[in-house]
Amino acid sequence: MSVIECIDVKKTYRSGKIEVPALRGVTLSIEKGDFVALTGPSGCGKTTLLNIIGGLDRPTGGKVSVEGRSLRHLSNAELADLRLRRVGFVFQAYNLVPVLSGLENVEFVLQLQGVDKSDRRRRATEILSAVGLAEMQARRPAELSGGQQQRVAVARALASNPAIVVADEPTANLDSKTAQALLELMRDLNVEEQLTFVVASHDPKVLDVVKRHVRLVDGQIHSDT
Amino acid sequence: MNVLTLISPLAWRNLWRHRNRTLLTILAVAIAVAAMVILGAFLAAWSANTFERTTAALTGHGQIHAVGFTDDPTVEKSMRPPAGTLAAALAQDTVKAWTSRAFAPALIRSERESAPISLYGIDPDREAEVSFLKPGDVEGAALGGSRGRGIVIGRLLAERLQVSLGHRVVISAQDIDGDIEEIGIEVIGFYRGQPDLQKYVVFASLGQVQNFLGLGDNISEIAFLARDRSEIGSLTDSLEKAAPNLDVKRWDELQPFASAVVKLTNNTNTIWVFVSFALVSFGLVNTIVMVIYERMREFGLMLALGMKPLLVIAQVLLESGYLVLFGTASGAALGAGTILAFADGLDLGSLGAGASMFGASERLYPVLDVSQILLVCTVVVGLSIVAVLFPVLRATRRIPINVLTRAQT
Repeated sequence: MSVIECIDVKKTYRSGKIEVPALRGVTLSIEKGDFVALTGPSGCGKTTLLNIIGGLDRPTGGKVSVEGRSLRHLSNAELADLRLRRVGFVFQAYNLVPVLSGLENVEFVLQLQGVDKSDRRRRATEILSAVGLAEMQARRPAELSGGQQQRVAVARALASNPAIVVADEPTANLDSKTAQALLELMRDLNVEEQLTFVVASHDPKVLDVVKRHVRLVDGQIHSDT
Repeated sequence: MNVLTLISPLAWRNLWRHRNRTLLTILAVAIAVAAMVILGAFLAAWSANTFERTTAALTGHGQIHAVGFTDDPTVEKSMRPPAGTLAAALAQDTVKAWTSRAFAPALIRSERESAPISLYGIDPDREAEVSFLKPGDVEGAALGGSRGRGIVIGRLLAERLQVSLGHRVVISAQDIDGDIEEIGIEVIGFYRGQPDLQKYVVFASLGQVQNFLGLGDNISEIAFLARDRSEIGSLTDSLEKAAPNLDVKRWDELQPFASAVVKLTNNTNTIWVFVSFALVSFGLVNTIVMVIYERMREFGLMLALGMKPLLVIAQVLLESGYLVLFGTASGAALGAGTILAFADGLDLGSLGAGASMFGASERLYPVLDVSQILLVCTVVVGLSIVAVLFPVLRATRRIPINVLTRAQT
């Protein structure tokens, strides 16, 4: 069964009387364990599609399902619960809560889930070790480099044991070496944990690690290889 | 999920992200609360002082007269001394003390000057329980008993008449039959305090004045004190029932100007509390709304991660709560410290006759009223949370959940 199913998904933004179509009917099926790159020129709809898949936005047409559950009729609270328990997010920037340490940022989602203190501390420590940040867990975001911050964000995305991880331009603010290291970390997690990744990116290095490349142009799938 | 465990560390740490702004806001709240506490204590002291001074002058908590006396206080409007139901009513527990007086407007003359006066015949022992005129506060000899000879006058009147202790003066007044009577009498004492009364109020023994005016046993007024200030109204009502043919009035009916000053002082306090609170709330709301707009992306991230909007609101409200609590506690401590520093009283001498005109004495003694401070603190904390609630709800509704990505497509 597909983890993500998009059927004829449309999204139109309205600004006054002006309508701007961002997605013009996207049909896409992503299987468990897939590692998908969404690429395309600026304004092609990559982030819009990612937001809709992650439950951050609602389509104006079509149908989206995550793990067989249609998002169309979910309330805002149900969408929040879906994001909390089944979707991990890695954003381009402003990924972390500034006043929390790396460990506390990872624990944050577990705390929202109601996991008790000892369990969430153990799990957060394990995941931070897995992403190579065992020594940095007490540091706050301002004391971490950009690459380390993104690793914490990946650790946080993994902590909730999600069905999918959506990442929007995760390497955009990183130097090439750090970006490469982050992508390799994601690839390893994809291979070893069978975790499904959907990554929107302009970065050509992303294509070296993904299993599938979906290119969007003008809000439609141009190619799927 | 324990909500406080989740949001309280966040709120606490965020509070100190902008240390200077936080400290300034706390300082603003503290100063406003301190001002409320300090001014409240001084206004309460002024109000209490005005009440005490007014009632201790001669008014008491209330008076009983023959009908028409208060409009035209003359010798003819006299009444029988209390007996029967009125005597029983004056003997009840809620009456702290009472005294009878005979009164006449009169003229006093010395060898050099004359002056209009209010001549009071009093029972010295009973009078001491009701008014300011205590035997120990009289320079010279106090009035010795109901048949004692001589008069006690104010120092200011003595200066005007240019008389000393032992000098004789002449008092002229109209008696009960309408005839003008005169009596030569010795000045045996000068009373202290009550500078206003010192200019024109003269005391003699009750029997002496009754004889002089031909009143027999009749008296002009009864002044009484209630056991407690809160019981004045009910006591007056019961005395009215006991003496339906007499005129029973409370102190605030007898002294409307002083009563107005007390009411004005109390209302000023309330107005001051709300003006100060309004200033506090403007500063607080401004800070909190600024906090929300500055951290829009952060709140957006939290919502994206699955945090419920109510928790974001609770976190911001908790930050406001910390600000107000620290500010209020500091302000209350500052206010209490200031009040204690003035425990020996604040000299209002610089106000000249102003303080006296408004019924207060020249020295005010603010009292540290913990319950009043707690009330101010509760009002400030409670109303502050209510004041920030609407802007917080309004601002948090504007947090776009996809704030981290919506600039890009």
